[in-house]
Amino acid sequence: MAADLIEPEQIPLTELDAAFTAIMGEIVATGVAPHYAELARTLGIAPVRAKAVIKRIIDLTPGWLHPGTDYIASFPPFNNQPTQYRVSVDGERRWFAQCAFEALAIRWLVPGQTVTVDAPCLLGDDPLQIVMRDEEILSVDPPTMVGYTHSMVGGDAATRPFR
Amino acid sequence: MNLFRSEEHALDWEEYNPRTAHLLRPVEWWADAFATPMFRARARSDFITWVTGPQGAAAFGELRERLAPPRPDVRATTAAAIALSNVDIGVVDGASPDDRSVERSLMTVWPAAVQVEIARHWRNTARAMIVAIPAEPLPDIDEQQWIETRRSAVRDVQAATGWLARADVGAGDVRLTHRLAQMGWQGEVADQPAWTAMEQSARAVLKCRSLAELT
Repeated sequence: MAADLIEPEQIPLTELDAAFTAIMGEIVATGVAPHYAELARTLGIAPVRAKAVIKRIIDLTPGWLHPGTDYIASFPPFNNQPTQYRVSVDGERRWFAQCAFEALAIRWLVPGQTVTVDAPCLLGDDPLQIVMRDEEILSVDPPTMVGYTHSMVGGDAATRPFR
Repeated sequence: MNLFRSEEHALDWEEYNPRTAHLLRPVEWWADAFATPMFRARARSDFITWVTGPQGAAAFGELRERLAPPRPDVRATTAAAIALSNVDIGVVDGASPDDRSVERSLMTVWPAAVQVEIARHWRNTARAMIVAIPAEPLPDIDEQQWIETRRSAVRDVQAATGWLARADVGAGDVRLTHRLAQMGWQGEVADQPAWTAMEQSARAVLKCRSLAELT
């Protein structure tokens, strides 16, 4: 198969840069990550090469493919697979964040726009909400809200969805 | 990586692990961590080149350092800040600038690991709460209103102190002013000495943190 002939490590960084920008741009615009065949058309490359490009980008960033598939499941700060972190930009709810903390980084991709994160507390009760825009955290409701992870930064990529 | 209604809720989570207690933080702290170059750079058109190069490595190192378990002296400083924020308001209320009751009260709760130099700044923090919030009302303010305002100021200084300790912000952080504004220190109150006290106390807290991190 031709796909086997593409060594992901040999793909030029400039090509990866363009692909990363295209994928991120698509998610920001639509809330959904492109399939590799769609990315191929955007970049003007063969689908088999686009698939290798995606795998290489996933290797270099803290995202992941859905196990056993070529589908982008997570492309931080966003998640293609729904999570409990629902994100609205300027009032339009269309996105999901990879995790609570990555939700706080979405603002850097939508400068000047208001990002609202709605999520449940893992112990139930009323929902939680954070509103931010650029450098400002506009509101944290309730103000006692905290974030917590039991995982250290880095570590095995296979554990990423469970951190 | 999850959100919880409060610190108590997080501690009740079945997956809470005391070994990662340092990763239980206010949302503002996490917002600061996710405002570092590693996350802002995703908007770059050359992100993959950047993240795989020396700048990306440095940014990742900065993030690792930020999320690493704190050293004992930093932990002790944080504990002291929280102790300060928990000092009974009656100790501060009505105290004169040369009153040592606040620092005596603090000395009973300071962790032993806090070094002398750091302890000195904590003492200054406590004094700032007294000195910059004068007991005498301003000329054009009702005395009772001033007393209530002053008591409120002391409580807010304590709240800000506790928050600063937990939030682990750096000296000169502009979010300090934003945080104080969130607490209602705006408008006419902002012109009063209590506002100065808030800032002085907060700056002293930040100085303590800097010292703890350097030693």
